[in-house]
Amino acid sequence: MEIKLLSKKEDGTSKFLISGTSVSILNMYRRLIVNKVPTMAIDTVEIIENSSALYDDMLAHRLGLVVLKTDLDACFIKDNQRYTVDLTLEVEGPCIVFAEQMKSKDPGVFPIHGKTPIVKLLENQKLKFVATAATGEGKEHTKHSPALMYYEKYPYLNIKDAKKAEAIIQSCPIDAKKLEDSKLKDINTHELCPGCIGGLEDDNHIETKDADYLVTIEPWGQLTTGEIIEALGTVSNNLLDELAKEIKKIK
Amino acid sequence: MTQSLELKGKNPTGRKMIIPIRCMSCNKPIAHLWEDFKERSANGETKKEVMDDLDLKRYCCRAQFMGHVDLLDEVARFKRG
Ligand SMILES: [Zn+2]
Repeated sequence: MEIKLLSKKEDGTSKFLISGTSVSILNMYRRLIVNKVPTMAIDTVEIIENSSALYDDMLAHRLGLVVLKTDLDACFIKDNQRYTVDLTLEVEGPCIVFAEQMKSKDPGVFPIHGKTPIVKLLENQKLKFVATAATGEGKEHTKHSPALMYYEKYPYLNIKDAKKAEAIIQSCPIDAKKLEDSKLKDINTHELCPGCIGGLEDDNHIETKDADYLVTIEPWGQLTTGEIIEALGTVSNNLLDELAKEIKKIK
Repeated sequence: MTQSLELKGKNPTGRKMIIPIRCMSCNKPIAHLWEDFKERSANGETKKEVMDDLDLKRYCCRAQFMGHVDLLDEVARFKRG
């Protein structure tokens, strides 16, 4: 298997060209990322005072979905002990309560999107709570999922007619389109660009190879793409060890 | 009433009061983009331009922004039942 990084955006969204693999392997990785890579999220909320318009349980639900930066080392559940961190908040209206106002006991665990609105408070409305963040996996609750991963067959564009290539460049609504030697240079422009796909008229100009895939990992912010891939290795190793142990038992 | 209406998915008022933290379909965190979106679209930019700029490329996330109405200001003035 060969992996090549094609592009990386500011928010961490990375595109890879992975060759020499199959859909079943890639889907295994996808499911491990979504279901098994652990991250922190608010799990329990003790509401001391809430006179806002939102019910306590709705507030707790919103807090749970807030994305918390996670330290990968703390994340893996050791000896069935979950790592927990308390976040506290005490505010009085009128104001919008933002996630960044929560005070965390661990400086490494904080809301990554500080400007996430939790609730709006009017005058004389108060909000006070202690929230406990804990590690967990995406299979328990999707708030623990660190990223979205998706893949498609790598589209090799092969336009032999120079005039046609020129026409496609002209028709593409995304101005970043760069065609060089009749091949798409910037793979990002391929994605969701009906203008150039429509310009191809038929599929003859898109070639795919059986084992080449364009893989995108879009992290939500708890972990960076690098950390997710690192954790993916650890997770799959742990699962294989477990499997080996179980097989030995049968013997 | 320990099992809330929210948990049962039967709380219609909660849906449109304040922007959801994450997209209901794809799980992308979107709430932090709302204020920016509201301000910029009020200042004359088209919603398409703002959403493209905020990197909301899937239509599930875009739908959350297109369909949302901030009702919390209205609702907050009444006593919670
Ligand atoms: Zn979405």
